[in-house]
Order: sequence, then structure tokens, then C-alpha cells
Amino acid sequence: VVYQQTADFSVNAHAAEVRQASAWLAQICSGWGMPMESIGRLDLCLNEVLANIIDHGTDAAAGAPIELQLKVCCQDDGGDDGDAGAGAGAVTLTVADAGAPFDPLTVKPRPFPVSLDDVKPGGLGLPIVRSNADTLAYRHENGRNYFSVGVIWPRVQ
Amino acid sequence: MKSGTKKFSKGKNVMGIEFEDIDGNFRRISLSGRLDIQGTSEIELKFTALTAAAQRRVVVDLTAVDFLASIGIRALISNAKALHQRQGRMVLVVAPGSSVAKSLETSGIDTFLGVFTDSDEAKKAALN
Repeated sequence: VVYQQTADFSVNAHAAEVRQASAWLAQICSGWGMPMESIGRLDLCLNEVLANIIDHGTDAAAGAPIELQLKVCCQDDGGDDGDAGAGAGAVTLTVADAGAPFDPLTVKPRPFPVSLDDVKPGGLGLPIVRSNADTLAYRHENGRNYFSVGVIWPRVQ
Repeated sequence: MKSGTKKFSKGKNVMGIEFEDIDGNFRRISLSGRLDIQGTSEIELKFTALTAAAQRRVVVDLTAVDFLASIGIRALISNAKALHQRQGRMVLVVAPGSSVAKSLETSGIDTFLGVFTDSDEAKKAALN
């Protein structure tokens, strides 16, 4: 049985609203039976993507709410509790902002610093997203950046 | 399912920051909670104040931190750098296999900032 569902939320491009988004993500994903470790990875990606929009987005990004969508696709565990149970699954988080077109996938990974003096503050968000996400996708449509981050988990035996 | 603008709350979720002076210039700082944007802003000033002293050796215990975003790593790096420039040293303790350990690995700072899973080893490295 394949189980699919979506959930939507929106936040303003303000640091103070990031925890609201995290709490929403945790609540929705745990309701879908997503394992805690996978929720943690997706939450980290959410935080980094929102931080990039808040820190580097233009006035247009700051002026319109950021739209968030979660989409789950997984095998049902056969139970009648309405959740995805212990089946394998994937959740994709799509973050849509109204800022200038920016494709994060075109950003080249920066070289690893070699000493403490060499290390630059910043630039860590995308590497964290890349290492925690299983899939990444970007499109620009109707004046919005749509950045999608997917996390996949295996069936629990 | 449409969630609209419903408010989601995770309870108090306040960052914890505690310290213990062990001897001389050696200090252990223990952080707990979420080092996200909000959590980092909650502890940043106190953390800087606790690490800012010439020749200080600091072990930062992150084993009770359950979430480490890039902004938290930035705070660790900037204070470690400041300490290094004043002939001090900062090392970190993390829970093995944790997401915090993974975030530090991703940033690459674990290669030159000591990151340990054993607090005795961390102490030795800080005092070395």
C-alpha cells in the first residue's frame, strides 16, 4: 500500500519564526511515522534553507511569506492507525520564497579549511543541507524559488 | 492536510549554558538544548564572555545539545579562533554518532579543532 499526503505551512522571513517551522515539521513528520533521526536531518535542512533566505534574501524575499510544503510517500505498515508505521518512505520538504532567482545547486562546495586561522565564518549552511538530504531539486516558477529537500528512510524490520 | 497559520509550540526549549572552573585557566562549559538561530542567540553573549580570557583552556561539552545548525557552528568557530589568537585552546566533546558530531564533520572543523567523545581525552587535549 502506498501512502501519500501533503501538508502546508507558511512563515515570515524572520529568525523568530524558524522554530515555528521546525515545530510544524516535527509534528507533521512524526504523525506520518517518520523516524526521529530522519526528522532531525530534515529539520536541519529546513533551518539552513530558512537561514539562507533570511540572511541573503532580497527585500522581495523578506516581504512575502515563505511557503513550506511537506509531502510524504511511503509504504503503509498495514496497520489501521492511519500513519505510515514502519514502512519505508520519503518526505520531501519544499521551501518557496519570493526572492531573486537563486539556484543553491549551482553553488560549488567550498574547500575544507586547513587551519583555525583559515576558517571563514559562514558558508556552512549548504554543505549541511547536502550532507543531510538524500535528494535535492530546484526550480524557479511564477516569481518564486522552489527548493526541495528529500529524506528517505528504509523499512523498519 | 492544510495547516495554515496554526501556531506550533515545542514547549520552553530554552538553551542551557553552565560552566565549571576546574583549575587555573581550565574551564568546562556545558551547553544543552537546540543550537539553532534562536538557541545560539540565547547563549552567544554568555558563551563569548566565558571563553574570552588569555591562555584559557576550554572544554565545551555538547553532549546535551540535540541540534546544531550552522549558526551554532559559527559561534563555536569564532570563539575558538579568538581563544586561539590569545594563546588559549578550545576543544569539544560530542556524543558519538550524534547529529551534532555529523554537523561538525560536515563543516570540516573537526580536523583542526579537537572533537572528542571522551571527556577525559578532551581535557588532556585542552591542557596539552
